[in-house]
Amino acid sequence: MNQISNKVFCKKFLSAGNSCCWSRIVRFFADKKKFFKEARISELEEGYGINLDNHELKTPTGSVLCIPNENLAQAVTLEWNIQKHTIKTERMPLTALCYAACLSHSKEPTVSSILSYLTTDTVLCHSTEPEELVQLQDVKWGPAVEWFKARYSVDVSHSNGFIMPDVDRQTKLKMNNYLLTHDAWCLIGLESMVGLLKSVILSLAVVNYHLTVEDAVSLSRLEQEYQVAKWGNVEWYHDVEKHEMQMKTAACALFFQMCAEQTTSISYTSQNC
Amino acid sequence: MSQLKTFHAILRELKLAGINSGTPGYVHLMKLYKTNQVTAGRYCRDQTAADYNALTFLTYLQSTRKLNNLCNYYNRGENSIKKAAERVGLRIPTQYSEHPPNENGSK
Repeated sequence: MNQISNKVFCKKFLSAGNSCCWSRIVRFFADKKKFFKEARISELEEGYGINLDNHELKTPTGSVLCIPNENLAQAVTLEWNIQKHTIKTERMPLTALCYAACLSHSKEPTVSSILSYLTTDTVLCHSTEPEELVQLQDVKWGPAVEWFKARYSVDVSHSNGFIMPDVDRQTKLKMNNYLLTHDAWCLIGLESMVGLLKSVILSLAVVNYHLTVEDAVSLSRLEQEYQVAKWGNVEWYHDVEKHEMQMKTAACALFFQMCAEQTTSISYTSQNC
Repeated sequence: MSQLKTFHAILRELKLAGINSGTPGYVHLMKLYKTNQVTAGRYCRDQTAADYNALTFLTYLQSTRKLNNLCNYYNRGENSIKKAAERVGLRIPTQYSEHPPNENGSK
């Protein structure tokens, strides 16, 4: 956690005798105080920016953050407005995704990073014991895999124990071409979700509206939930892990959907008809 | 979960997070709901896309709030050095204070 890394760092620097710069290090790691009253969006040439009172929000590299669509910009301002006394950057996943998307320039590294998870996909790696868990995995993960096979016309099968699942070249090629059709920003959201759920199949099920975020997180944590049901729940570990995964996965799903959709609406009044 | 229930749950989460009805994010959310009122499948996208997005947004807000509450509850103890010392039976030494102690020596 933040506080523990604070203390470890302080101790190291104190013992080394660098007392002049340890306070700077502590301030860097400590949570920043909320220095603005309200966050609002502003229109830029290529999209929307965020203004924290009168300061423009900039990416870590120093350039002004430019968000391509309005829904996402509004969601990011909401994230900043939710912060109370300190700015907790680890609870602002949408902003982190925007920074990552601004820094990435090409799609290929993101796509290859996503595909590298396919050969070790969670729902394709079944365990061999205990018997209850094996049955639970067949019952819960089976439908998700069947949906994936039908949706993308590919053939994948699960493996048991320590053997890696076999994903053939044809499948990898098809998924590579499919992923390359998406926008670079969408791919950043998808890559982040795949890293959280440790599963390409579950992430694609979420963005295709086949599974809700809660269901996908539950399937990804199937073994943990089985053990919790059997041996008991430790709130400060299991619940924190579950809610953190849900928060970040939901943020990735929203990010993907908002970048993928561009909708305009025309409202008809009785005079126009 | 029905659409109206999801909508009310989102509004409740925003209120708990301190987002008032005047803020731009709130206004934008109401605008989105109004424009999509009649349009479940009208704009050539998935029938249930808007419902799913609303549910995802609700999950995001709820999980953030629950995570914040859990972390505030369980991480509170780490900040207090006095409590950590008392836990192992020690007392921190008397700290310098601008207000001098009483004349008879008690704090």
